[in-house]
Amino acid sequence: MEKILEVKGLKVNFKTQGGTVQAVRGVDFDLCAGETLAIVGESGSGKSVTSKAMMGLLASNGSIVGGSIRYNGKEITTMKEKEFEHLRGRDIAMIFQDPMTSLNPCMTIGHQISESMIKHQKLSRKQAREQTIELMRLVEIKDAEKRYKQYPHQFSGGMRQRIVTAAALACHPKILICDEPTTALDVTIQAQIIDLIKSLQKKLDIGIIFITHDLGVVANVADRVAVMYAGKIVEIGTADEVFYQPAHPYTWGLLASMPSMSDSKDELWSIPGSPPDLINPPKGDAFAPRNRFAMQIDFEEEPPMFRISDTHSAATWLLHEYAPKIQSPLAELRQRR
Amino acid sequence: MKKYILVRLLYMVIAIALIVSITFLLLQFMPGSPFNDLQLTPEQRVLLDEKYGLNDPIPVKYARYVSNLFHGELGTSFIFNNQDVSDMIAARMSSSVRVGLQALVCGSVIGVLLGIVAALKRNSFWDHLTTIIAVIGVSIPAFVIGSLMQYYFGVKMAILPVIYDKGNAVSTIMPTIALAFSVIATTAKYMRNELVDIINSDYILFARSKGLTGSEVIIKHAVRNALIPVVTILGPMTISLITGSTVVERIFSVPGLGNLLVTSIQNNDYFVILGEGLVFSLMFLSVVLVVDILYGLIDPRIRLAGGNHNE
Repeated sequence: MEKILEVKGLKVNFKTQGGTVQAVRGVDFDLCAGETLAIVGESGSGKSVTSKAMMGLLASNGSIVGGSIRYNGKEITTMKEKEFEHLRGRDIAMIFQDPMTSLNPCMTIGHQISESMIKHQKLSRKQAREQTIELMRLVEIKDAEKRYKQYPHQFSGGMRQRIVTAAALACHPKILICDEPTTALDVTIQAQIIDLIKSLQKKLDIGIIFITHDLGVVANVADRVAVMYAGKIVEIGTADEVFYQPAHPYTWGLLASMPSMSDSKDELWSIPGSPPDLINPPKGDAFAPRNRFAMQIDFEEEPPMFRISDTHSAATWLLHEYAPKIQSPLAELRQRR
Repeated sequence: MKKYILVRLLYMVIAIALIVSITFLLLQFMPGSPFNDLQLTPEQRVLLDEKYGLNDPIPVKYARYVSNLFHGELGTSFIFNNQDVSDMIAARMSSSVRVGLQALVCGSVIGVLLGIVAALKRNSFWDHLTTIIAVIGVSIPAFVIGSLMQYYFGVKMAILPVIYDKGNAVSTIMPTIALAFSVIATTAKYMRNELVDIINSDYILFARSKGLTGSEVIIKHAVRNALIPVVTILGPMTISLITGSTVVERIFSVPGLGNLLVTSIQNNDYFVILGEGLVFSLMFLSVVLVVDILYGLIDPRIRLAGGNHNE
């Protein structure tokens, strides 16, 4: 398949009063047309920062300090703002977490959806209006013609996320970054929005980067999954590989801490400890202090990515040929259930 | 919307009635009388009081004043040769309105621009300048700024006329600036804070993710929304213009309403004070009403709450 996005060794720093935060510390992944890559990880693992770096929308105190992001073979980290503006909305678009705040309260939704069409495709207002109404029908907003002129406060959260989706898709982008698009929604609405995004992906052949901390959602949407911890991808593979043959202790912990309907008797599993301070990232494997399988070397040297299969790799010394063979505790946990 | 405006007009009438009654009552407790001239003998004063009905009981005086009001008469001045109060006010309106409007327009335009620059270039020279102007404008009264300007620009450098002159536009510069200072300060501070909040909001990020240029995002999405709260402070700003004008007009000798108010209070010129109070409250209440209507027009969320259901 054709690779439309390649990220190599991406590093992002933020200057804060407490010091320089190394939010993303060398991230590699790629995305093919029409595929969905989920990036999972807890808050502060750098997943949102990675996505904002791809959009060129880092906060003013953040900057890309290393690595490359290539869109269709073209380097975008060094692009001038003017060039980037042509890319944003037209080739790469983004849906944000909270639909209640991501729409301008004082502008009609029709105007907000058509904005990027007028900008990128140089459509007249009338043409843009027709296309917008069509797009609103595509994202299943009823009475599109009437609702075109309404304001965001006249829509529910789920409807607003559909509007945001329509606005993001207005110019048929090749890549859609979804930054936790369902986190702020009710569970029933979540399913609707995910179904909508999946069906639009099929119709329009979009590559999707789906950022979330909800593993249930991941299982539902992702072709491939990247697990991020402390600014790095610690494991990446197809959804089946990551869910059924996870290799990194952090992935084990993540999967184990997902509550299941059947284990009502046990207490909720959680990973002990808290994520490291990224102003002074620890030596060795950042996850080592929370890892009960950590070895001496984990505290000394950072593990490289070990290849498990063509599509699956993980950064843990446990995969080294000299490492003791450890049975994933997940199997044991699953048996207990 | 019509109903809303009608209800608001009714409230205005009630407010005016209360203002007139309370001012009237307070004036009765004011020490002294309009006839304080030392050249007058006690007998002459008694005669004058008698002639103008100043010895009547308060309810009688009040009833007389209100019934005159309903006939459209604001009474006459005790001091200025029995002039009609309405004529006096009408004659002074133009100078006051001119200086006041100039101050309001210049002040809010400069304030908004300054606020925008300060918000876009946070912690820059312009941001600090805005903060300094805001602190000065709010904490130093207009008459101090006015007198300082008179001294430096009028006397020392002699580049601007010290005294207001109706026919000379240049002479309106200093009173305008003195009045505009607090307007600049308030609008700039409001604009800056509001804009900083909005620039950090999700919908600005989303607008940028659509590929709009930085200036398009600022103008279409940020500034428009930041202006909404600025419109609301137009009301309080009119108050500060009116109160500021009383003293500023005095020091620049502007033949305006503020100046007249000060003179009439000094002279216990009851009907002039009452008439001025009435005119000022009318001005203020109308501004508040216009602002509320404007607010609903700009912000669609308020439009619904205000009753103009456009669904």
